[in-house]
Amino acid sequence: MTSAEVGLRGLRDGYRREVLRRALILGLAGVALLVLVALDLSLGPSGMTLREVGRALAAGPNGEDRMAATILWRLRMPQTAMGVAVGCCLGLAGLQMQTILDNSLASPFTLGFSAAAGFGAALAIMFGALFPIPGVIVVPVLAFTMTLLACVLVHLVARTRGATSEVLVLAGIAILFFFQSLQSLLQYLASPEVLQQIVFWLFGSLLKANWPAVAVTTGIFLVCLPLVTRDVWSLTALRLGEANAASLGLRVAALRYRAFTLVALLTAGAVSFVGTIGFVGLIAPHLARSLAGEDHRFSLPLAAVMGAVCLIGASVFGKLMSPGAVIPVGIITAVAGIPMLLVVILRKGSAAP
Amino acid sequence: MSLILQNIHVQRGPRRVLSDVTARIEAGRVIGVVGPNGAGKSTLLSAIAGDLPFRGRITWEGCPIEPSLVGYMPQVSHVRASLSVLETVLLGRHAFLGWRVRASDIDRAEVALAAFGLVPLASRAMNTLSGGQQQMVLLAQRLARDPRILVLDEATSALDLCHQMMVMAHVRWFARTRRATVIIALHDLNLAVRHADELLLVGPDGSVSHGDAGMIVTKDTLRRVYGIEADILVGPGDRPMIVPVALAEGENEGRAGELRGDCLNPPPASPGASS
Repeated sequence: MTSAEVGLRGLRDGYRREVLRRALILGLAGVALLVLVALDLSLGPSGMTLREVGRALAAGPNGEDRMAATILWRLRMPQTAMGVAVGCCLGLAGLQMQTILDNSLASPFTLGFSAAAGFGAALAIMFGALFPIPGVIVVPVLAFTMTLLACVLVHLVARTRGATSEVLVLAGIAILFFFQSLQSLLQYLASPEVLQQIVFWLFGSLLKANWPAVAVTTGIFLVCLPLVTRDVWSLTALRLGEANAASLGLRVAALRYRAFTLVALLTAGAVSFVGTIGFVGLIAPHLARSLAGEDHRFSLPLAAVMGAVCLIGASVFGKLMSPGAVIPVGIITAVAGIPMLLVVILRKGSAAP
Repeated sequence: MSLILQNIHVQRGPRRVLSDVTARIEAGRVIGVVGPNGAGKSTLLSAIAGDLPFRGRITWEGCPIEPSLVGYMPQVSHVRASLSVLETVLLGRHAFLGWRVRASDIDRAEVALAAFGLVPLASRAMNTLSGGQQQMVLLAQRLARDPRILVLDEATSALDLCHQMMVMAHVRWFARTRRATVIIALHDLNLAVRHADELLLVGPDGSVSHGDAGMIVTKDTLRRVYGIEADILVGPGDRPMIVPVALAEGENEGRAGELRGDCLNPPPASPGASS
């Protein structure tokens, strides 16, 4: 073997080792998620022991112990499953958003999608009685519709001014304030009871979860995932900067349109049923990048898993902190997210060249 | 095989940046694009790379240029990401990469890295490299695409003298062995004269002169285009060597005055003059 061949083998082996390391991290994150899911299922205000939970799980939804079956399969399981689905959606959307906007402070909510969902939900809570449909359907449907409307508005602005990250962020800020002020107007006009309902929705809580909601959110994630994975190399190339990526033949504007449409869908799927859950979509991509690097073949799925890990972790934490009454998980992610964000910023500051 | 530019016009707002540019460039040649700041060197390169709308016709072997034939490196190319050097070079062929990266793709990237002595840096993150190192990695990335037309905008601006020589030598080797056309914009006239086979001089009025160094680099041209008085000596290989002496006076006062700002912050010393 010549020295040149040894050199070639060295790079190949090094690359393969790195790929294996990243796959291992992804696997470990999956295991961590499974452990957290098991913990989340075994914790709750009813005080069921771990053994009772295991037995109810084995007996299935129609098990003989009706109370245990109901608690596990109709109350805890949908919440945990919803937490996983929402976390995955927000993590996946968050990394795409940070990549297309080339901004590590971007999140799925940066372009005003969550404010639009909040307005839709508030609208439905206030005027839902006018529709001959139950509130559990009207609220998510209107929240979803408004999120997609916000996405269309961003599209329209980008079509006229060019899909650069600056234009997208500015359009997003305008849309965010637009829907936030509409939402404030509704809150101002609402009766105290309705106002309370709106505020509770905005908190973001897994308590609103049910099986149909889990099915819809999971369905949206499963539809978006293959569409995102088609662009893994393009998204990775975009990390080289817009000018570089474009000079490599990448159609940056088209990629941005595709990506933020998927982000809107994922965000709509995540927040329409459970409300605004902040920081997960911001922190999960950072965790994914610091663990698995910038190769989006690994960082995208890892961001999804880390989103679920953060959300279920927050749920477990909330249940441990106040075993009697469940604190809305949106509040925990927001409170826990701030120190994590600070850690990210400080680490970044020290690592900068 | 040749690259043909026919009557290229580029308009930016009210300003005509390039006006009626016509040139024929044979394969295997290195073309240095020179001219004063803001004359339109980058615009010409973007047009050739298909990155900019223009009026006129640009063909390679008689056909419009396919984007896959071009390896284009724009001027602003700083990378903030923590992608590794090897990953960055692999991304040069992102359109051809599958879910699994083939060993042949890694080998191809390694050959491109080896050309600039960058293999020891293969696992380093891009955002830990210096500007010059990044510039060479990005050049290796373009070469890994094995382009027929290599378009480089100020590819040596952040490099020291040794690496300038290394890049120019490799680019010449690439043009000769791969029968590729290399078009490289250079601020350093002496570097261009030394290493390019032909020069394209973009004037402040958007006109372009095309020819070999002896034809393009004359005292009169330097006065007219750059607004300077210069001595032209005979350098290595009997190529001209330019020694700027003073700002031109008289009829070119306006142009010279415009350039004075640039002259207060002169570009790095030319390698031709020091070697």
